[in-house]
Amino acid sequence: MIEIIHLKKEFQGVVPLKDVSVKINDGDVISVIGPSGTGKSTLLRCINRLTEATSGKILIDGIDILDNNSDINSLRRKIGMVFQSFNLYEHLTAVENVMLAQTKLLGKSRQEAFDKSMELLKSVGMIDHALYYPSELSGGQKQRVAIARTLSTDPEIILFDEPTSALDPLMVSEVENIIEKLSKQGRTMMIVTHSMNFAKKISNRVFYLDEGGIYEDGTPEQIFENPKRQKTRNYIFRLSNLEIVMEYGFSGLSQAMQSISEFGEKHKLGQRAIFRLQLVFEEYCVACLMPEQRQGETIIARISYREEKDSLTLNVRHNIKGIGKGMNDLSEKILSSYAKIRNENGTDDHEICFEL
Amino acid sequence: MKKRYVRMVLVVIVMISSLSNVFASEESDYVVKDLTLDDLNGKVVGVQTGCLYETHLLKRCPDVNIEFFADPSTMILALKQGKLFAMLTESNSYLCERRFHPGLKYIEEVLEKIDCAVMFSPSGRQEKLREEMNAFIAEYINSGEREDMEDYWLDNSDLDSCVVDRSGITGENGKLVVAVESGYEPFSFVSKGEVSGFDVDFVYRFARKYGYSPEFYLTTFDALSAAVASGKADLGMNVVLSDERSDGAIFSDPYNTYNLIATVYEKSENKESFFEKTGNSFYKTFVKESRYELFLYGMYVTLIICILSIVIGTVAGLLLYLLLRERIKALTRFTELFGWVIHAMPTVLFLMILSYVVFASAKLNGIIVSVIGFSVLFCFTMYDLIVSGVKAVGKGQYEAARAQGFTDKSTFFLIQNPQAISHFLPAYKGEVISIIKDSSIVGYIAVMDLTKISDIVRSRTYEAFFPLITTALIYFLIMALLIFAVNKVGLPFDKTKRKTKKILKGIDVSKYGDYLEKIGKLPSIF
Repeated sequence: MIEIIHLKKEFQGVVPLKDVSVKINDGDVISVIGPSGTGKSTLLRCINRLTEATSGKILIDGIDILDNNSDINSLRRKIGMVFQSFNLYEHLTAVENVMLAQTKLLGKSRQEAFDKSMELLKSVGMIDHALYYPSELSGGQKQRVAIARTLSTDPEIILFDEPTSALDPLMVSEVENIIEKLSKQGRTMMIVTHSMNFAKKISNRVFYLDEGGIYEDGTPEQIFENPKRQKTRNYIFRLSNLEIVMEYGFSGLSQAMQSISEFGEKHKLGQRAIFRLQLVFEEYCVACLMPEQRQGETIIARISYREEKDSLTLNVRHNIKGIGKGMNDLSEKILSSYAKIRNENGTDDHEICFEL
Repeated sequence: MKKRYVRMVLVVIVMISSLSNVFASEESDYVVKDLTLDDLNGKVVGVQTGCLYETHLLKRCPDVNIEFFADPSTMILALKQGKLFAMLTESNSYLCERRFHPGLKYIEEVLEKIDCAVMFSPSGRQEKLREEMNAFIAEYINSGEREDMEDYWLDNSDLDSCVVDRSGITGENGKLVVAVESGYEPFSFVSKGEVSGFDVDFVYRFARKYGYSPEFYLTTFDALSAAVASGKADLGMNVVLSDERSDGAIFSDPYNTYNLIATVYEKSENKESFFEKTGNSFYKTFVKESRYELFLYGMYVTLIICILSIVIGTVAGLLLYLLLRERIKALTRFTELFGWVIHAMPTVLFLMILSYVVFASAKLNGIIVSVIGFSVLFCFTMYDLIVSGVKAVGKGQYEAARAQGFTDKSTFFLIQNPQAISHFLPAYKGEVISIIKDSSIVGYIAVMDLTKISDIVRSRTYEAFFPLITTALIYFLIMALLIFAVNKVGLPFDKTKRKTKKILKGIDVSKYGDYLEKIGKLPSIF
């Protein structure tokens, strides 16, 4: 079991990981997703200390690996790593790449190491290429050899740092299939990936990294079908948002209209859609809600565009008391001719969603 | 069969050379009658560096163009080729030069009388030595010993038969290191593998009388005063007295006076064919006085210096690199700065600083100083080579190895170094070549390497062409030899050239035959 406690990593001027605390159980297959620059690779590299953490603890089976007194080299043998750029030893053949750690670190005989290496190469479909040098292999083949090399020391945990990002699209599946096969063997694995379908297929747990830590942690169903937090949703659904906050006595109406039009142009929504969006916003927020607004009451309008499904929504939340839906029949008629009106919270009328 | 062939060639060469030793005999034949020193104005005149003769010449002929030469043999060659109109030489040396170049004639008017004295090192016993030397010189002049010596050494046309009496040296008052120019007939020169000449005889007479045991430090005129001033030698012989020089140094009374004259070259009809000339040169350069032994010694010294420096430098560079891998920033910066300073300096300067400043007081053998110097140079070169080679391997493989649990050191030796070597091997060969070339300057600190030997031989034969070409050829051989050795040593590191058999050494692959055969990389035994 890996336990990460208040892990912090600071580079010069940048803090990708502010405070990470999480428990990883044996046999967990975790996909680590998130926008670039959120410290996905950094998190992985801190676990085997390729990157030195600034502060915090990482306990593996109760031993703090960040403690300088612990024998990092023998701890690293328990943690295998597969790199984005394969990093095979260029001066050795495929089979020697797999053999090296076995003979030099585990003290196995050359024959033993060779037999095991051939077995591993066979399992990744590379036995025919045992005597090829890395420079003679394609990217996908290199990554398969690299996986065999990682398996050669029987690690308890395997870290995959974007294993398919550097590959030709045609070669991605050959590597993904092997990782998928491995994920069913009960090893603890952490995979940094950009491919959500792949993550869905293999993992039992997903970390969404953002804001300097694990922003959302859940099963693939939770994270991919029903993400709870806004940034996760933005990322998963490839959402982009425009939020307009209107306090009592709001005066930036023309600016709000301007920014709605810019948002629309940015996402190539077309003039008609922008016009409809502005109309719905004006009719509901300005004509219906604002006249009822009193001191201390706020209206928040969020325009969301979900690229994946090409859907555009206007979500309006407010805390104005005692106005129900806040629109008269005429307004409702006008609005429903432009959008599908959905009451988000059922009984509560304080959040209304317009699907345009 | 081969031996007999060589012997026959030698016999032929000896016969040819004995035929050619015919000299003009009358002294007046050698005087150029229609020239005076005034005629040198506007002409190019050769002067040897370090002798200060140019001041006298400029005083007499202000419009003269002076060209400097390191040794008389190249100066004579330039004179013969017409690049010089005349050259300055001492009357005694002229007699020696004339033996080989009968075309050398001189202008009767003497440019200057030159006084030469002994220079003393400020080693603490200089006053005692000077008193003893001055007393010896006074007696030497008064007793008639001087005439005997001059008759024997200076007016003798057959220097090869002259010997120094080296008997009766007791050495009860200690060792005396004497710096002499290594190729300066008839005063100091190498004959039959030993230093000989007027100055050497003079020193032996002095040492016999005052109970010293002399030891000779062979150098060039331009480095002689530095050797004495820094304490490498106790005495320096045959130093021309001048106002400037006597300011900072301690000199004896003059013990030798000679005429400074100007010589020109008149082409005599040359009846020798090319083969005779070459045979003659070969005889003089290699066979006479067994000079090939000198060349062999020079080769040996050059090889020793190069091989030791390359081996020590390579190992030291590797150790330095391993030390600095620990990422001690200040140490790395210091090393880089130090290496940069050393490499920015001309090698000859670095070597002279090492010899005359750093190891001035330590009486270290010049070969050892050279090996130290070149090892240091090669060490920094090696360090740079490894750094660039490792950089070329890239960080990824390093991380992969560390992630597998290899230590930093074993990552270096198992992963980075084997690849770095094939990256930097071509550059390494270039550095080996440049070390061999650079080693030719060790003559400056009195080491008898190949170049220095060639200089010494040239100072005896007064010929430049043959010794220069053969020396170049020998250097080429040394280079070829060392590059061959480097290739042999470096080959096993080129992993991509390994045979399949070697990769699979000690492994029973019979059960994988199907797979391995398929790739067509294995020999058919599987």
